[in-house]
Amino acid sequence: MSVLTSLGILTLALFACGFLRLVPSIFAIFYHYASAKNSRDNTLKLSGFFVVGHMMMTMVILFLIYFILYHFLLDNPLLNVNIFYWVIAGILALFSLFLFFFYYRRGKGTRLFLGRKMAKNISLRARNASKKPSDVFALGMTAGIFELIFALPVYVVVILEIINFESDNILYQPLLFFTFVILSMASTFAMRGQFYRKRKNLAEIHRAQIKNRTFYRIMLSASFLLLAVFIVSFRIFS
Amino acid sequence: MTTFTFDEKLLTRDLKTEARALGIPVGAANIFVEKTVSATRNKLKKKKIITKRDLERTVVAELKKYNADLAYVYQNRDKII
Repeated sequence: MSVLTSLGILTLALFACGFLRLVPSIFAIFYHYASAKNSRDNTLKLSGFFVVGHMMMTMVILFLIYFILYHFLLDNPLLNVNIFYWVIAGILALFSLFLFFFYYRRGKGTRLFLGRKMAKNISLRARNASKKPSDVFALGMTAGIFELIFALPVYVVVILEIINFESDNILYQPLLFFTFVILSMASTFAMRGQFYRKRKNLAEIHRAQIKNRTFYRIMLSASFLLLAVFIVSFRIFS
Repeated sequence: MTTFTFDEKLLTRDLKTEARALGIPVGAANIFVEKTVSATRNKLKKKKIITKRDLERTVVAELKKYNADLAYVYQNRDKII
């Protein structure tokens, strides 16, 4: 039961990360402008550096959370773990509301919650990082940091589940960790597939994003809320 | 209030980059980008003051005649994130 609950929570966390649109959008801008300066295959290779950069940043952040939780919080006799879970569930529920109402700005497009100056700067960086692999790698890492605003409580939940995963085999924890890191990139991989395999261009992809905006918003908000409900019912009251 | 200078070379370069990114053949892109820029110049030179929005609207209207995707990408280039 507990293993299934953990896997359920991890799956929900994956959904929550998968519906965040900032990294795939940065990737789309990067890929679009990179394809103007490079051949199709070179663009694909360069986009690999973005994916690896983002993956590395996700891993670094998860390791950092693991370190803090394991060494400073969970071993602390003064800390009641239930209170910690309440705080996390509260933040997730609050974010769920925020994501529903404010993740996308008002209007027709897919403009996100970011300040306009910051959004312009990120766009500009994504446009210019289209030649050197090191720039692309750095862009991927930066994208991971920007996504952290909403992904942080989800990452905390993931690490808590991995730490508390009940299993005799010690290999399950690193396996879950790396599986989560790879699967959390699913939306970026999907975007890469749209550009490379399906040969879609930015206009087609952006039109589809606008069409599915309400769906993304509802799913994102629902996955955060469900995660909060799961934590309250399976980690606090069980 | 900030002012800007209408830079034809910059506009041409930007449009050509967008066209290349969309996979439009270079020859065709060069022709209709040149046509778009010259039509924009002719339309806007009658006005004493133009805003960035005027410029964008005119360029998009001209581009739509040749390639809808290019017009769309140019119009939404700062509205993706």
